Amino acid sequence: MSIKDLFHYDRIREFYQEYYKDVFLPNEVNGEEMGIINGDELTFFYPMKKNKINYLLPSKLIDELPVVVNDTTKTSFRSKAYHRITDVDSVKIKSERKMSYHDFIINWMDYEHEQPDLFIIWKIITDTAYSDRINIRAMSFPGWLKDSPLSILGQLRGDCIAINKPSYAKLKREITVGNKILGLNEIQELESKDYRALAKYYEDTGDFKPIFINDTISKGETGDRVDLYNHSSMTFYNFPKSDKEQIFEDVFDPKIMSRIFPLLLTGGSHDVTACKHKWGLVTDKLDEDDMNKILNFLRTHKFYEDHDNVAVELIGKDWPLNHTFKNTRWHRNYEAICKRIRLFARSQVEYNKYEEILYQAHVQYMDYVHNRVILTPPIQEELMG
Amino acid sequence: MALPTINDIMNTQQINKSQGIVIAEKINIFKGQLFGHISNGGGELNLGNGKSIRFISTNDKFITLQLIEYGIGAIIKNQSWVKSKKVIIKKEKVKDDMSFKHNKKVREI
Repeated sequence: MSIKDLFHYDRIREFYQEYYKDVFLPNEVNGEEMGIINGDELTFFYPMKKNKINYLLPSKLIDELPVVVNDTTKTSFRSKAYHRITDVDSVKIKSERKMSYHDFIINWMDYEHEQPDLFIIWKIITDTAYSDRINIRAMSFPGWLKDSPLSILGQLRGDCIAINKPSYAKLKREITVGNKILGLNEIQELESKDYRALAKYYEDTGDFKPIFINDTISKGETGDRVDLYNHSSMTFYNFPKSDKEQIFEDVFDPKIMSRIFPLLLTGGSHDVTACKHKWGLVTDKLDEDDMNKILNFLRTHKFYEDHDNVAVELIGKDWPLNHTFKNTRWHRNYEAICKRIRLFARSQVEYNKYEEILYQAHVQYMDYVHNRVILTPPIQEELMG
Repeated sequence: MALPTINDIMNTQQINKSQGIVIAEKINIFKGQLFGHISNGGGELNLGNGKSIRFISTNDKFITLQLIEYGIGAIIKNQSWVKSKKVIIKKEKVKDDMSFKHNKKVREI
């Protein structure tokens, strides 16, 4: 099977279920922390779901994921059966350079696309979000594959996730459990309490703060603190189909807009998708060779997550940035992505080409916004103060 | 006074009607004995042996519980009995062993 075919969601899922069958990952935590009364004291757990079975992970292990579970014991809580995790081993993915970073990016979902170079940049951006710390928002037509590289990475690494209509509870849980990237879809039309929490999240993560403090919760409660260490955000939205549909600019305060780096991903339309690849129904199973190809990809990803390995490969590639930003937050995002473009490029000419594509994606976004009438005035001034 | 066993509870409609009404809070089973308080406010208590007891209803005299065996999801029996001082005799609380082992030596996969 070609490496292209292996990135079908169903095949990556099959790999995930086989490779991680005993390994518990952050994105398998599926609920809030809960306290169970035991005698006269409370014991705390996080609920997890794996292969249709509900588990209870002792809260002290939440920062230790991934772990291999060796033993469990049955218990029940509020009429629901759980397997309480009682014995674990710490594990990590083996780091191995099975291909160059250039080949890694090319092989990752190497699909026919109306904007092939921009799609390459987008894959580099998604990888930068995993290995570095950035805050990105991107607008495109539907079917561009904005969130697909993140979904594939989530299945391969188990610690990044995309969520729709992020309520505060969802937001808090997915950050607390250690997801390195939080993908956010459908951020428009949130309830006001969820909107306020999301706005505060953008404010803190966009400022590269180490913790997110939700001080917007009800009066009388103390602010919640969630660790944002090495955490990235990626926000996705589509071109509005009608005047009534909103984009980021219609929803959030300018101070938030200035923290999350915007990009416009050109290609396609509301009727024609930019991605030209056609997926069919998967009827065959992965063989050993297929499993190894995905494993090589995964281990290479782990290799390039290590900043020391990246530093070694960047020796001799001290090509300067061709553009800078006066907005230091935007500049930090841009610089982090350009570092990975340098890693990808095989020559300075190639680097300049891809940096320009990135820069133009930003310029096109700003042009779009400047030429567009914002129909809904920002409502958050009264909420954010 | 001997504590009522789980069989006492499940097989006896009324435990000593002459005893007073007690609003109880918690329940625990240890070695077949009920020695805790029974929830009067809803909720469910794990018996630790693959079974749990769920509070159903109460009135001035009777409290109705369900014994549930999880895994098969079956409700074994609904039973009512007089709230009795016998069922709240409790001086000690038994804890399940909630400890866990963690081998921190990181293994590569």
